[in-house]
Amino acid sequence: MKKGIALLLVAAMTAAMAACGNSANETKAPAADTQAETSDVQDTEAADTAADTQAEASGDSDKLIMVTEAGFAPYEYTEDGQTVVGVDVDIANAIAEAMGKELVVQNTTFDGALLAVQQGKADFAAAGISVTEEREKVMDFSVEYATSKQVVVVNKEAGRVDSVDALSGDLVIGVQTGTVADYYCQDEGWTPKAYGKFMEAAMDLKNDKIDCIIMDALPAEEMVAANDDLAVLDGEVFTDRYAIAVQKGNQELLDQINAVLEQLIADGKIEEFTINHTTK
Amino acid sequence: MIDVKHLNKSFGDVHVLKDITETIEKGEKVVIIGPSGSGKSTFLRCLNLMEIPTSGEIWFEGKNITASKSKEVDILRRKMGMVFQHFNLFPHLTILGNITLAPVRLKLMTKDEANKKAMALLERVGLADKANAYPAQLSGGQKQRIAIVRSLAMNPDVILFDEPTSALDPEMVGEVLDLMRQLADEGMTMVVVTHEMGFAREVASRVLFMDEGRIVEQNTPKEFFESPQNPRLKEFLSKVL
Amino acid sequence: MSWFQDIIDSFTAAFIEKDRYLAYFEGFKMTLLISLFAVIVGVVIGMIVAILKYTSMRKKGLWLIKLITDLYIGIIRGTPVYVQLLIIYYIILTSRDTPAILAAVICFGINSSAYVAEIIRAGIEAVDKGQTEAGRSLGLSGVTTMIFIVMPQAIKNILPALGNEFIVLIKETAIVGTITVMDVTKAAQNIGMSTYNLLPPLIITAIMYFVVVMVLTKLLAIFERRLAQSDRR
Repeated sequence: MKKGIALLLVAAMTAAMAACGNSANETKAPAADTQAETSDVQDTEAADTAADTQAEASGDSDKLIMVTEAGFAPYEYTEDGQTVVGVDVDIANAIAEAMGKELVVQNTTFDGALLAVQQGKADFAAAGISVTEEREKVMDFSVEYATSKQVVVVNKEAGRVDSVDALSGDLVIGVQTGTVADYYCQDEGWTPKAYGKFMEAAMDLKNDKIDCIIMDALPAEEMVAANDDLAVLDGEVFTDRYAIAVQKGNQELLDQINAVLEQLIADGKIEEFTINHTTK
Repeated sequence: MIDVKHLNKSFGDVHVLKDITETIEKGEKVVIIGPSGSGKSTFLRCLNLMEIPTSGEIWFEGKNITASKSKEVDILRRKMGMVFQHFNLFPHLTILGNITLAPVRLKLMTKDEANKKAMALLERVGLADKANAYPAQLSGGQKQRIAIVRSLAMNPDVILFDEPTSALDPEMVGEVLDLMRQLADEGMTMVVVTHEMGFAREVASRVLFMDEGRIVEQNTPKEFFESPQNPRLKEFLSKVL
Repeated sequence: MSWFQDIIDSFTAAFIEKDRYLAYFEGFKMTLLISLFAVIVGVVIGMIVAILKYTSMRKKGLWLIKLITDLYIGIIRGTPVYVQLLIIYYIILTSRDTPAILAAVICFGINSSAYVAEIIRAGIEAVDKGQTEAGRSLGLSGVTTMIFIVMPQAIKNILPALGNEFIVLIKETAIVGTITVMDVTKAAQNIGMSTYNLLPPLIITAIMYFVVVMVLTKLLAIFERRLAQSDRR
C-alpha cells in the first residue's frame, strides 16, 4: 500500500514536470535537458549569495529566461492568447541568439516580473521597465533602449479630464501596479487606483468608473485604436526610458545584454521592431 | 476462570465501579441485573478491557490481563467473545465475511476452514441462506444471532453479553434468548447483562445485583427472586417484575 | 441590431480569430492537470497528517506531534492560498530551474492536504465506535481493525469529499497565472489584452469552468448515490 502511494506520488511529479516542458507559457518549448553543472567557477564580484546562484544558473544552462508581463503592446503581448510576442521579445531573441542560448519567455504580473529577476528565478526582465532610483537599489539595469512618453488616456464621452495639466489628486487615476506611472502618482501625493492589468483599467475607464489612466504612449495608442470610447490627451505627463533588468551583481550577463542592445540601437533595429508591432 | 480483584473505574470525576471483587467459574452462567447507571455494562466491558480499569486487577485463565501488553490482551480476547447491544456487525462485509474475518486475519484457520465452520454455525442457527447477504438485509433478531455466531467462530471460552436484546423489537427477543439458552445448555460460560428477568430466572446459575457501582447482592436465581434481602433489590424487583 | 453584431464580433475575436480557442483548451488542460496532481499530492500528505493527528489525539505522550499537526493545518487553512503560492514560488522554490507548474502542484497539494487531512479524520471518526469495539473484541489488533473494518467504511465518507476537493481546486487554481503558468484564466487575460476587450474571454472562461464543475458535480452525486446504495444492499 505504501509502495503504491509512493509510486503515485512519483508519477504525479514526473507528469507535472513533463507537462511543464510542453505547455508552460513559453515561446519555445525547451528541451528538458538539465545538464550536469560544470564546475568552472563564475567570477563573483558581487558578494551576496543570491548573485552566486543566479550566475551559476545562467552560466550553466542552455536556456535564457526572460520574464515579462504580456499586457503591454507593442512591447509584450499575445496574439493567440498563448505565445508572447513584442518589441521586448524580439530584443530578447537577439540577445539569446548572440549568447547561443534558447530563449524562454515567462509571463507573469509586472511586479511579479521584477520580483522574479531579483530572486534569480529568471535571467532578465524586459517589460517596458523604467529605471528608477528605488529599482536600481535592488536590481541592475542595461542601457536604455526605448524612450517612453507617459500620456493620459480618457473616456471621450465622460470627459473627466481635458488636459495633461489638469491632473490632480482629486481625480481617480488608473495605473498599472508597480509601473513608473504608479510611482509618479504616489510621488505627487495622489492615490492612484492600481490595476494588475491595463485592460482592467481600460474596462473601468470605459464604464466611467475612473477618470483617466496614466501609461506609456505606445500601448496607449494601441488601446485607443481598439476602443472608440477612449482617447489620448495631447502632451505628455513625463518622459521615461526603458531598460532591461538583471539580478543585482550579474555584470557578465549585463555586459552581454548591453553589447547586443547597443548593436541593435546602432542598426536601427529597435525602431524596426516597434514599427512591426504597431502597424498591424 | 475470571478473577476480579478490587476493580475501580472512574470516568473523570464519576466513580462508576467501586472496589469490586468477584470470581466467575468455568461453566457458570452469570446474569447481572441492576438499574441503569449502576455500572453493570462498565463492569462487563472491563472484563475484556474494552474499558481500562482505573485500578484493580482482572485475571483470566491464570493471567493478570490488566498488567499484560496490548498484544497479549489481543490474544486473550480471542477467548472472550462479546455480543453488543447494537450488534456491531460489519456493514461492508457479507454475513460470511463478518464471521470469518477474525479467524482468517488472525491465521487461526484457512479461508476454507473458516467458511466451513461458519456455514456449520449458520446451519445450526437456521440462517445458512443468509451467508452471502449483507447485515442491512437482516432483521434485528437475525443480526444479533449472527453476532453471536461471529463470536462463536472464535471458539471462545466465555462469551460476554452486553444487553443483547435491549435494541430489539419485542417479537425478536425470543429467537435471540432461545439461542443463548442453547449455548447455556451446551455448557458455555456466559456473563450476561440484561433486563430479561425470565431469562435470568431460567438460565442463570447465579444472579448478581449491581447498584451504584457495587455488587450488593448475589444468589441462585430461585433465592434471588423469591427472597431478596437488600432493600434496593426489593425495590428494583418490585418495579420490573 | 448593430449592438448584437458587436457582441458576435467581440466573441468571434475572443474565440475564433487567430485560433485563440486553442489557448482556452490548452489552458483548461493545464487547470485540470494541476488540480488533479494537487489533489493526489494532497491525499498523500493529507493521509499522513490525518494519521498523525488521529493517533496523537488518542495518546497523551504524542502531544508534540499533535501540536505540529494542529499548527500545520491551522497555518495552511488560516492563510490565503494566493499568499502561499507567492511564498512557495518566489521565496522557497527560488531555483531558476524549478518549473512553475511544479510549484503550483506543490502549493495547491500542500494547501489541499490540510483540508484532506480533516476530511479523512472526520471520515474515520464518523464510523461508529462500536465497529472498532467489535473488531477489538474478536482479538484483532488496532491496526488490523483500522485497515479491515474502519477504513473500508470511512472511505465511503471520504471519497465524495475528495471529489469535491478536486472541484474546489479547479476553481482555486485560477491564480496560477501569477507564477507564469498558463491556465485557462491566464489565457483569457492574455486574449483580453490582445483584443483590448477583457469581457468576452472572461465570460468564455467562466462558462468553461461552470460547465466542467457542473458535470463533475453531477458525476460525483451519482457516484455518491452508488456508494450509499451499497450500504443498503
